[in-house]
Amino acid sequence: MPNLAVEFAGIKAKNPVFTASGTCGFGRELNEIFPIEKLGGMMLKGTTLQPRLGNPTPRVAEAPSGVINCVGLQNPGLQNVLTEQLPWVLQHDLAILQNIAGSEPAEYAEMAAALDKVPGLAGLEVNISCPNVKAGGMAHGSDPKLAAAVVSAVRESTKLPVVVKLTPNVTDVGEIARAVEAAGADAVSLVNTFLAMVIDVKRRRPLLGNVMGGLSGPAIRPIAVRMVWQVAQSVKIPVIGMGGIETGEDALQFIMAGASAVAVAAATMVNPLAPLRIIEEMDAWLEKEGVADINELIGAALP
Amino acid sequence: MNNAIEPIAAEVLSIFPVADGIYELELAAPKAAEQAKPGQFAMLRPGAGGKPYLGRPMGIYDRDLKRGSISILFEVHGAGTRAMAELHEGDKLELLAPLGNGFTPAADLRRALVIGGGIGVAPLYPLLCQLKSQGVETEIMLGAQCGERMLALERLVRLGIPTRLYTDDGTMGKRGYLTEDLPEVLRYGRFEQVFCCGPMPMMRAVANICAEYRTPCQVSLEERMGCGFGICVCCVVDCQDAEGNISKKRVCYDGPVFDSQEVVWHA
Ligand SMILES: Cc1cc2nc3c(=O)[nH]c(=O)nc-3n(C[C@H](O)[C@H](O)[C@H](O)COP(=O)(O)OP(=O)(O)OC[C@H]3O[C@@H](n4cnc5c(N)ncnc54)[C@H](O)[C@@H]3O)c2cc1C
Ligand SMILES: Cc1cc2nc3c(=O)[nH]c(=O)nc-3n(C[C@H](O)[C@H](O)[C@H](O)COP(=O)(O)O)c2cc1C
Ligand code: FES
Repeated sequence: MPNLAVEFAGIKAKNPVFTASGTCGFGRELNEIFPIEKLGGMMLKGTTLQPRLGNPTPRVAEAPSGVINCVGLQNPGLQNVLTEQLPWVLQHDLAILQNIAGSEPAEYAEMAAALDKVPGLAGLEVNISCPNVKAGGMAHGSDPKLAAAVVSAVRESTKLPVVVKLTPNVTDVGEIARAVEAAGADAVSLVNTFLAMVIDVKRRRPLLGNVMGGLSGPAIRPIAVRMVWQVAQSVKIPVIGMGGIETGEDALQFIMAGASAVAVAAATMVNPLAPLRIIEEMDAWLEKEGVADINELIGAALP
Repeated sequence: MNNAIEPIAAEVLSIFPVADGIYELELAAPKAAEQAKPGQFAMLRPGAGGKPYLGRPMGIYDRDLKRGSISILFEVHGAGTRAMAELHEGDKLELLAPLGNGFTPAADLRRALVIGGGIGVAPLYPLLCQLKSQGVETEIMLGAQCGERMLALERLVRLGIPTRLYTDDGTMGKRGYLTEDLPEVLRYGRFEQVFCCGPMPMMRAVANICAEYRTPCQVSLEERMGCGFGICVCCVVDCQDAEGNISKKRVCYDGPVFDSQEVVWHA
């Protein structure tokens, strides 16, 4: 049997497939469908210091080969996550990353300090890329100086591995990646969703409750592969790839473009077993091609 | 809760129109048929090659344990339901079911009123079957645009439950909205519980009247869905607890059936 286990930024995972933030909640609902321990890991729902009710509905729209969402970081807030969510999910044997978002560096730092004390947490995913919130979110992720300020603040507040989640809504994603690497990030993950919108022609109005939303799913896959490929060559720290992954071969594209692990969001929404199918298909592909270890393929397509 | 929901490729056993733009679809899904409780729903992905991308939520209308099937009653709106209407016997589609929490009639319930509007009758039919087998004295109020769109009548006649019919244009039953008669029905009917599914404006009116007559009411809500099983937080509705604290609950996972008092009814 080929080895699927990976290790990046001090995070160990039994396979390279994670469920991406925002489509696995805090693990409970998926665990009713399959044992979440089969996953390499999970990036839990984006959490803020205070609870957030999120954006008005409709929050979701169909797109060609994809989905547009404007959830707007609805979450129960850090206290609830610390006392109710993490203790439950951390009983399970998989790598758990807590995704955090804030409106200024000090907020990110406060959350990082509180999470630093949680035993068993594998790391933080610092969301500087949410297109659906006014303060912070993507604004931090599209300016190298602001991005670095957030990452430095987090770095000073925790010893946990810090993964920084990048937005694709920038001209030069490599520049942002280099800025967060210099500020102390242990890894980067990309891509978050692409800013997008739909008009409801009948009502002559934007369809989504928040006017704009983020596009994800197979529609964005080739762009995401390109960005992972560029970032993998811009930084020395590990990269986690995501964007429209539906099959084992999709996942292998990201790995060959330089990703040490991958994450799946939209595909999990339309079929909760998609992450497991991706793991099985990767395993079968390695077996068939006679590759003994997935780690041999990381960056295999890079020049 | 939903311990064994499992996505399957379900075969179409039959599909036929029951009115203009409204179809009945029967799918082979033995496990879902066995597990389904009244008021639960299914996510359907009809198109080949991932078109449309998202699943479409549909109430479970009926089940046949011998045939191992569930049935859906659906109306064509946009691309998803159009793709469903183009299905043929033997086609397969991705199905995730049963989902959500259904209606919950109390074990000692004696008199119930079931109110349906348009296609909203679909998830009420399994409830009516359960109420009948529980020996609950039940009455039905059903509203539709016109007589041709009064759905599920054959099944309801077989159940033999007293039914009041209303149409907007008077082509069947009484002309007008059923909510005009509801206060009177509640005043004299001694109903302990109302169950309702229909268009949002109708459910809002029913919820208000039930509150006025202090009759508990369970409503089955609709919201645009992403996943259907609780992970994406797309399908939320404003709810409040007894202290007036507002929260956003997921129609797919916390509902789709809610106590009408819990829902914040926006105009
Ligand atoms: C719990 C539940 C049960 C339902 N049961 C039934 C049923 O038994 N029979 C029936 O005919 N219809 C039912 N509906 C409504 C049905 O899901 C929509 O009419 C359908 O999704 C429209 O899809 P479309 O592609 O044809 O339309 P489009 O407008 O093209 O749909 C685009 C997107 O909007 C979503 N959407 C659009 N309208 C609705 C809506 N009213 N509710 C939820 N999502 C919507 C779709 O899922 C899709 O993501 C139910 C909805 C919910 C939430
Ligand atoms: C419904 C939904 C909610 C999301 N919520 C978050 C979030 O809270 N934090 C975050 O960093 N990314 C969030 N994302 C982005 C995903 O994690 C992922 O980066 C993106 O969707 C691309 O992957 P995909 O093409 O597999 O969906 C969300 C995506 C979706 C579809
Ligand atoms: S549709 Fe995803 S949480 Fe309800």
